[in-house]
Amino acid sequence: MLLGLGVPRHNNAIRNRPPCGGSGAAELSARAHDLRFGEKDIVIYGVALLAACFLTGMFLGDLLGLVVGVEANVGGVGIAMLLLILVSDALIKKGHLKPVTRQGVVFWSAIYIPVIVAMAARQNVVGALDGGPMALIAGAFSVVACFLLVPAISRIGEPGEPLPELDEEAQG
Amino acid sequence: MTLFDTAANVLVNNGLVTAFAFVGIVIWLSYLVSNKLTAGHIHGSAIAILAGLVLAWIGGLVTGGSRGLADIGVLTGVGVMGGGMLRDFTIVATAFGVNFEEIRKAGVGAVVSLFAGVIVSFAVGAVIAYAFGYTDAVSITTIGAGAATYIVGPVTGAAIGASSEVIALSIAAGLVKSMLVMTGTPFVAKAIGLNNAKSAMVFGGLMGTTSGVAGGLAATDKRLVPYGAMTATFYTGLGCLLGPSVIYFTVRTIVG
Repeated sequence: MLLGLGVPRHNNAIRNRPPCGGSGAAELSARAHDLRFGEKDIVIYGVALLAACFLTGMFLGDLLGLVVGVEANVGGVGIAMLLLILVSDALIKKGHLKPVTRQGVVFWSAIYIPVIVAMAARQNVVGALDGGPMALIAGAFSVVACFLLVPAISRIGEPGEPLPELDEEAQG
Repeated sequence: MTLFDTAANVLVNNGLVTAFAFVGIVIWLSYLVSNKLTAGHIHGSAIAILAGLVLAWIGGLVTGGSRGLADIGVLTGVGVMGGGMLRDFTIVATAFGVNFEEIRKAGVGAVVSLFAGVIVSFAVGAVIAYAFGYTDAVSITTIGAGAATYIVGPVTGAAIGASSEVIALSIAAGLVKSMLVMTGTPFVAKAIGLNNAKSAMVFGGLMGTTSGVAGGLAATDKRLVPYGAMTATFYTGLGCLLGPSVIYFTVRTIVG
C-alpha cells in the first residue's frame, strides 16, 4: 500500500482497525458522535478535502507567482501537498478521518500511475525528436549532470533512511 | 459500417471513459510484458510509461499534431486524463499518508537542489547552444532555459524576445529531458541512491520536470513520488524567475 511510507503510528493504529463492526470503546463513542452530529464517514468528504487542498494550493501558488512577478504557478502542487499532509494529520489525530472517507483520497492516489501513463501518451514526442541533435544533446546532458548531483546534494544534513523492502504485492 | 460508426461515436462522445479503458489495457499489457519477457526486472509501470511515449510518437506521426495520441479522434480523452488538472490532482493525493517529519529533514537539501538544478541545467544547455553556434545572449539563455524544463524555456524566451525557432528548440530540449527522466530514472536509481524520501526530494528539485519526475519515480518506487513531486513543483516557478533575470544578465555579461 502506498500509505505504508512513513505513516505516523496513530495512523497505522486506526487503519488496522476493521472498517466497521468494531466493538471497542472508541467505536462506541464514535457511534455516539455520529448520532449527535449525523453521518461522518462518506467517501465524498475525502474527495472534497483533497479538492479543497488542491484548489487552495493552486491559488496560493498563483499568488506567489504574482508576488515574485513570474507568469507561472510557483509551487502550487507542493503547497497543496503540504496542506493535505497537515490537515489530514490533524483530522486523523482528532479521529475525524474515517476509513470510507479516506478511500476518497486513496483512490485518487492509486489512479496516479494510470494518469501518468496517459500523460506520457499525450506528449509531443515527434516535436522532441524533430528538435534535432542540439535539443537531444542539451536535454540529455542536463539530465546526466543532474543525475550525478543527486548523491552529492543528498549528503547535506542528516542521511535519509532507505525505505523498507517492498513485497511485489505492495508495489502493484 | 453503421455499426462501426456507432461504436466510434460512443468512444468519441465518452472520451474520458474511453481513456480509462484504453489506459487500463495498456497497463495490463505492460505488466504482462514485464512479467513474461523481463521476468519482472523492468517494472510494469516503467514499461507502461515507455509504451505511452511510443504511442504518443505514433500518434504524432499519424496526425501531425502536437498532443500525441490525444490528437486521434477516439482517443482525445487520453488528453483529458493525462492533462495538467488530473495529473496535479492525483499527485497531490499521493501526499496522503506522507510523514511531515521526512519533509522537514530534507528541507535544506531540497532548497539547495532546486537552485543547483535550475543553474546546472541552464549552464549545460547554454554551453551546448554555444557549441552549436549560437552566440547571442538571448538564444543561449532561451535554450539553456529549455534544458531546465519545457515551460521555463518558452516563458524565458518570450520574456527576453527570442525567435520562435529558438523557442521551439528550447521546448524540444525540455521535452527530451522530461522523457529521459521518465524512462531513465529506474535504471540509475540504485547508483544515485534513490531509495529514500530525502534523496527523492533532492532528485525532484534537481530534475524539476514535474512529468519527468512523476513518471520516473513512479517507475522506480511509487512511494517516492510525493517527495520528488513536492520539490519539483517549485522548480518551474524558480526557473521562470531566474531565467529572464539573473541568468540572462549573467549570460549577457559573459558573451558580451
